[in-house]
Amino acid sequence: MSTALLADDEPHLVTHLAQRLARLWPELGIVATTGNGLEALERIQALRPDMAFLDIRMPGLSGLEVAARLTVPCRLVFVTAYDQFAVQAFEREAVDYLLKPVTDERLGRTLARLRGSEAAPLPETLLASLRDLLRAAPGAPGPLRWIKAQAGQAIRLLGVDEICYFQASEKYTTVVTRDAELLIRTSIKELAEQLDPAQFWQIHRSTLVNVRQIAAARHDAMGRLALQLKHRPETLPVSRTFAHLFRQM
Amino acid sequence: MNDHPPEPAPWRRNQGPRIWIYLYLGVATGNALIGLLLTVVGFGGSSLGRNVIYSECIGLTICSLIHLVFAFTDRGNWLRPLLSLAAAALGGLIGQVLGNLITHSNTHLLSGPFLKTEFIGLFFGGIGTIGFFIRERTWDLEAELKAREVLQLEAEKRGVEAQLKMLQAQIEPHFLFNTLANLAGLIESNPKLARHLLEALNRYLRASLLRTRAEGGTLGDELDLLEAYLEVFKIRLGPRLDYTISAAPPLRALPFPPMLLQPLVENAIRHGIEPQVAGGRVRITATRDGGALELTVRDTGCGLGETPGSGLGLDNVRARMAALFGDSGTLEIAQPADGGVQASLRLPA
Repeated sequence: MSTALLADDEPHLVTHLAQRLARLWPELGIVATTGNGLEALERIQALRPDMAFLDIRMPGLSGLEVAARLTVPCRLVFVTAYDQFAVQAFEREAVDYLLKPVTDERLGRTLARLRGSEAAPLPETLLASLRDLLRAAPGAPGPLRWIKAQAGQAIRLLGVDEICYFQASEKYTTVVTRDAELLIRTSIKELAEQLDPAQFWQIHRSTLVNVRQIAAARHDAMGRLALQLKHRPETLPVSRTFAHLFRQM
Repeated sequence: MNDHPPEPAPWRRNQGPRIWIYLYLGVATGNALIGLLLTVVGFGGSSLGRNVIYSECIGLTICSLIHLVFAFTDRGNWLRPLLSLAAAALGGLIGQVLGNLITHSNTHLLSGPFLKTEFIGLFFGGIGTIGFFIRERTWDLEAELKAREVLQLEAEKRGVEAQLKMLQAQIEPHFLFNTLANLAGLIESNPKLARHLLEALNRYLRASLLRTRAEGGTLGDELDLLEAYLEVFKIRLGPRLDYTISAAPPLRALPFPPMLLQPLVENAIRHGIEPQVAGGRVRITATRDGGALELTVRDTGCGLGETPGSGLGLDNVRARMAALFGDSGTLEIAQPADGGVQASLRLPA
């Protein structure tokens, strides 16, 4: 008798899939149902079902991560509501998948294929590219847009647009906004690498300034260049190395 | 334009020849009038011709020198007025030498008439300096006004873009298909719950479509919409989600932009509750503090990830806040010590 495991974090979907499998493939034994990826992995390893229906987005581990970590043979069917990139990859690699809401017709076709087919591990390249796709899906990785800073007991998330400048101070970096100064551990050098270089200019070994917050660049009587800011009273010295940034256009 | 620091003093900027022609023609006319005036009051007993020639020589020299001073010193430099007066004195000297050369006369430098002329030069040089200051201030104000207009246009543009994104986001495909999948299952196994889910989905879709198309709307409308949204998730996630919404009735009557709070609640579910095996609670509270309406979405989910970045829709919320309320609206995201995430919107009310 064939056996299967079902994993989806939405309980009604698991129940419903179990009911339909019972109707369409009565001999199939459902050995476990679970709502998270960690448990799914552990159960598959322990119970060794012939097949597993894995939701892609699950807490703990995603369905793809479960697939990548499996060390026992198991025929996998991915279930997804709308991960169009993953679906394209599944199509290309002839991997079984189901789209929610699952129709009886589509489920029947998948089951027909599963009957009497051998479990084969998924190609590692496919899993790797799928994981990348899913991680990147909401928005391509780009420059840092948020800074996490300790504020009392809480951690504040600051949008980079809010930040006037970063100033290195001994062990920490001070994040200066219009009305607050917060400390973070990331160094100026690391920040300069991660932030959008068109928005944040390094003007000094220890200073990274938000270009949109600059009001004016001025020479003092001694010929040193300093920046005035739109929303801060203090001025920021520009070291000679970076003075070229403010030469006239 | 916005990404570059402001330009240097306009006195050095190439703004086309016309403005400089006007400036120097104006000064030349002024000089002629001064020459005429001096003749009328009988200054030095000279002829009108000589007085005008000296006036022009001195006045144009002083003006050029002050121009140089303004071009090569920055605004706010305390040396500027002093240098301008020095330029007037030097201009008076050079101008008189020039006048001597042109009229083939020989007014002795440091003689009485020379010093008197020098004094007149300093006087008008002072007036000229004030003129230069005023002109510069006007330029600065014009530039500031223009910069502000550009900023405002940009904010408006971002506001429209954000609105577009909001329209696209209101029916997120994952949300819709997962909810439909739940409905398909529940219709067979639990028709009563299926009807309840369908009603909540219907309320959410209808409210979000109406809210985004109609102008106006109140906080109560937005909270009703969110109640429907959270109810859908409550049914889908079962015991993994709890939620509360609390707002005093007078606050619910306040006007509120459509779908402004929704992305914060969506984040709480998607990035807080759903990725956490045990689930959690979402609490929405509205409070009024003086002239500000504060809305807080607090979850007990898994907190901020290691790389909070794009994809949270917060940029969009921030852009809409900026377009709607300028500086008086703020969005703050914090990770409280006892876990989860707290997002707070403050807006004038």
